[in-house]
Amino acid sequence: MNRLTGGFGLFGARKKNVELGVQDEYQLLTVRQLMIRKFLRNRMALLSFIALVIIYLVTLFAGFFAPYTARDADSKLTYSPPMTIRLQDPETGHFHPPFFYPLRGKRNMETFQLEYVEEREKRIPVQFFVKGEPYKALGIIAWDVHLFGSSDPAERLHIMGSDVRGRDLFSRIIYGGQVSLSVGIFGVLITIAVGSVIGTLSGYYGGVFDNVVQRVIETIRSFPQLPLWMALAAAIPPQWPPEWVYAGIVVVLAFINWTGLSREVRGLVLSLKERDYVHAAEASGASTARIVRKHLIPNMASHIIVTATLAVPVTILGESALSFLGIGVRPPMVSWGLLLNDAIKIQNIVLYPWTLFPGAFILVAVIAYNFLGDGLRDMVDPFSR
Amino acid sequence: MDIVLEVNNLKTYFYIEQGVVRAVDGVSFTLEAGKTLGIVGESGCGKSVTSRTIMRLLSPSLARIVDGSIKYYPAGSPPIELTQVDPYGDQIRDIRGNEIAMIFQEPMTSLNPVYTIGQQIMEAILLHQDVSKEVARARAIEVLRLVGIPLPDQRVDQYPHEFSGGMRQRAMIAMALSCNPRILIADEPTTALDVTIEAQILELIQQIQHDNDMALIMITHDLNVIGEVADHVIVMYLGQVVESAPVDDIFDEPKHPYTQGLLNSLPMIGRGERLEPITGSVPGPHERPRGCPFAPRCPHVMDRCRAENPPSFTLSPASEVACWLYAEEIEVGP
Amino acid sequence: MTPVEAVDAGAILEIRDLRLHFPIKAGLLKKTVAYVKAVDGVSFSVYPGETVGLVGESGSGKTTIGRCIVRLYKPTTGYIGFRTSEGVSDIANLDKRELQPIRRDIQMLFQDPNSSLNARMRVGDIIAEPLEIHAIGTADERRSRVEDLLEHVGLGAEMYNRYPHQLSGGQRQRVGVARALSIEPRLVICDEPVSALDVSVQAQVLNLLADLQEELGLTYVFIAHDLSVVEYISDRVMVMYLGKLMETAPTRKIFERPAHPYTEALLNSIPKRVRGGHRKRFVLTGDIPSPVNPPSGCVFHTRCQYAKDICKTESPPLMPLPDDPDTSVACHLVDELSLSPYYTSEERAGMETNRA
Ligand SMILES: Nc1ncnc2c1ncn2[C@@H]1O[C@H](COP(=O)(O)OP(=O)(O)O)[C@@H](O)[C@H]1O
Ligand SMILES: Nc1ncnc2c1ncn2[C@@H]1O[C@H](COP(=O)(O)OP(=O)(O)O)[C@@H](O)[C@H]1O
Ligand code: SF4
Ligand code: SF4
Ligand SMILES: [Mg+2]
Ligand SMILES: [Mg+2]
Repeated sequence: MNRLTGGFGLFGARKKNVELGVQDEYQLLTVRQLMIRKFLRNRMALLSFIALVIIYLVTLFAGFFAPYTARDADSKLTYSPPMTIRLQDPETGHFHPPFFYPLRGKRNMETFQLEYVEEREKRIPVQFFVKGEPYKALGIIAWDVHLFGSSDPAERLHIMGSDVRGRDLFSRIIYGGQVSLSVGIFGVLITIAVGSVIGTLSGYYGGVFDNVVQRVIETIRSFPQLPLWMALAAAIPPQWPPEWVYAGIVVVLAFINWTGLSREVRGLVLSLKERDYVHAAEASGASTARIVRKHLIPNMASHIIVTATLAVPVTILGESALSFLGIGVRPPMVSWGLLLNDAIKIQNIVLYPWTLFPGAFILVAVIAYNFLGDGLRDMVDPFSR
Repeated sequence: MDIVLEVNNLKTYFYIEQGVVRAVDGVSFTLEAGKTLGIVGESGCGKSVTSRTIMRLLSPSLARIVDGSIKYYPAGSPPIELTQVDPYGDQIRDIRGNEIAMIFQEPMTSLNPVYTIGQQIMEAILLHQDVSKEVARARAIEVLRLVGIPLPDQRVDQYPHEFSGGMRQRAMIAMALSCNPRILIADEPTTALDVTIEAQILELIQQIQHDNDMALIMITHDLNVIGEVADHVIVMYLGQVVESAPVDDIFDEPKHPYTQGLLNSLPMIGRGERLEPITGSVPGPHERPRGCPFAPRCPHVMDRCRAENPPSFTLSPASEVACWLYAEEIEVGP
Repeated sequence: MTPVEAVDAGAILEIRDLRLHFPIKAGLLKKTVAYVKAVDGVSFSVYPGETVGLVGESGSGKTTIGRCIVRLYKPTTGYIGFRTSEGVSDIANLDKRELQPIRRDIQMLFQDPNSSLNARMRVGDIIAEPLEIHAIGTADERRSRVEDLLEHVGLGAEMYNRYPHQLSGGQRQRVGVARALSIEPRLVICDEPVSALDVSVQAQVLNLLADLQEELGLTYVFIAHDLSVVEYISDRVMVMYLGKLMETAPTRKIFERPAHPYTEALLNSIPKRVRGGHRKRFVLTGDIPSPVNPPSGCVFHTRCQYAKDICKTESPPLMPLPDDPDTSVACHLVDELSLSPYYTSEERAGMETNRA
């Protein structure tokens, strides 16, 4: 019954109600307040939002968060398994500041595989804000401090293991995130730009333009998504520099996504343009540009944002799939899909299961975006429950 | 007197982000077999929530019955307390449709667009009666004919969108009647229709009521509809019953200032004088007054009204009014 | 299209043979397969300062006529003469640019206050929109004009920064009224402006419209389906059915001496309280037919209780009554029928003396 007696009124609202002789068990909230409350109540969406902010910050400042650069190799530690950061000495039981034991490779003379064992005699402290490989923060500021790393440059720390050339997988995942996550964002920006302009035009003007656009969209959508992406990606010339290839992949991914958004926008425009406030503006002589700017866009913005948010994970998955299959971004660029390409052979998965780590990151990003999109969708419709 | 439904001090509150909405805040009435109770009041006064509470159609996570009772008296068995039944259970499902049926304002939202009219009526029949599909179909055609749908044996296979607004309302009525309910609750059944179609639908409802000795609850904001069909009327304002009286008293001697105001707001053809409507509008949940709910708009408001909510004063065996103006009449009375 | 000369010198608005046939398109190539004859040959005049009521069942084409007048729709054929200080222009055939000055003189008031206000705009910006479109005044001048208007329609200047969802239905409709009046139109098309409102608020808005008319000398075309509302506000009434006018007459005559069977049917289906109870209503059977294939001859013949053979083949024109030129009727049997009124003149006199 606590809810009956209040606990809602904040500051002024309650005082005013008393003056009016009004019961104050109900508080008038603005749409924005309602939306924020709704979003905060959706735990998964909130959690996902926080997770995504962290992931994006980490990849944005990849040089600082990654202990090594993406290309920094150590031929003595190829396919090293993840190393454990410890606080307790397993033999004596004593506690120490964070440290790790370096790995020493030994060839197994029966299988001829390199097998790694910890060298327990050597306790190497993990150091925070350690000086290491130089990098450019945000691509401009030259620096060489990393969040954490081995205090001994000769003994490398691979918390998620290393790859065939002894490159630190964790660092490569962070750098790969730059590509994978930005492909999602740029792909969706193109999707929004193309999808909403075409959707608005075909919804507002209809006629031949709309008819043609709808047929084109139907044609594009009649192909299964992945094979169409593959065919388009395969058409990117192999001699292009990696940056161009990256841009090409972004465009390829947006090529299918805009159709969905454009349909959604068209539907919204069709319904919004029959609202009486649009009629009132038309009857007063408002120009089309004014109607689009004042009446259509503000009422569509939230829907577009939701659709766009839900399109990001699709794009991320698309890039990963293409790169995994070797027709996406090319080395020396790294992306999660490309890293996962290491796990393409079943034998590798068995021997080096840590090569699947990039997949976990893809999964987390995709799931988080989906929860976020769902949360936003609820939030946009603040009067639903 | 054969009572079929008795509602006593019913209170249904919504608990939402903004706080509490006292949608129904102390409603009482009794309904007799074969008689019509009219519920009238402006929108937002809790008429629909009252009817949905009786049918237990509101989700308990959103709306809670905080007080009161709803007694349903089935023929030849002990009364059922509807506030106590499980809203998702078998018992209420058995009562809904079979014993108490409901029709809504916008028939399109209560008809499923992907099934034919016939399939939907048959479903209602098959749910409650142990008959074969052929019998159910024959019965569906029969009720469609009963509600005046031309060519019912062809229309039975059409989809809701192929029906006009008036026809859809007829189909809804057909569905509601398919199991011979003892009580029909009609929530603004003619509000979305033209006067010409309204006249048709009201005539139909009354004729069916008469033929089946059915009790009817007619919910509307339109006093004229009430005047035509009701025997007894309750006037609702902000979730409360402010006046309860036989229909002729409501029109000829309205007691409550709100009832009087409603009648004065109605344009009457030929009267030719300027309307003197109630001032202001129904307050929202955030400006719910203390004391008498009508006080902010009442032309007779007194200090007492702002402090205390008036109880119901019984003026005659059949009529009650919740207004301090009548306190003295009672206290001084013989 | 043959141009029609303005003949009615006193009228502010003169409509001649207006038609709007909406094409129904189907198939991949969107070929026109049929037409919805929403308005099918309507002529009438509106005189300065009066209120003309337009009634009829839904689907009869009332909204379509209103939207043609404000040129939300371009009529298929017909003439819509609008008189300004510079003379008469045919709205039906002006292009977008030529219409712009005329749009200042004609405004529309909409039915549903929920959908007629943009939820993302503040009340003040909504009312100022027509002023902005026509670039009238500076921002400050517009603001003070909007504040005046808010007071005028009974809302108070402090509503300027509110959003529509913070207002009640009646307050929203007042905002709609303020928007329509902000550029000082001379003619306002009211499309069922009170149908979605509660009775008390409906009466308040009707009174507001009547007061504003008197004060500002406005002319109203008032569309409604509720005859008691139309009787309250209108000087003249036009009865419409399936895209055609059935009868036009001064309000009082419509109720005292209906001359068209459809008018009679409408009057008799209005609920009416007579001594000690409500009368039983006359029930007009059936639905309004589809405007895609309207009945031949008189469009009302499928539901008319007086229909004769001629009604099925020949369409009756709308003609003034010989003995009463203020009343025009489209019915073959107009001279033969004696139709029952809503009230007799004695009854009316009774109502008026009761009041005194
Ligand atoms: N689902 C809901 N959530 C919150 N409040 C509601 C809900 N449904 C109805 N209400 C509130 O309950 C009150 C009564 O509503 P209702 O019974 O629909 O009124 P009526 O039928 O008399 O027009 C209103 O204040 C309305 O806002
Ligand atoms: N934009 C449109 N396209 C096609 N048909 C329409 C359109 N607008 C209205 N109609 C049709 O025209 C007829 C008249 O409609 P309307 O003018 O809205 O009638 P009223 O306002 O009298 O209810 C109806 O049959 C309606 O379905
Ligand atoms: S109790 Fe007072 S405020 Fe309420 S209706 Fe009666 S006179 Fe008016
Ligand atoms: S012309 Fe014939 S069908 Fe039409 S209204 Fe007159 S009598 Fe009826
Ligand atoms: Mg309701
Ligand atoms: Mg209309």
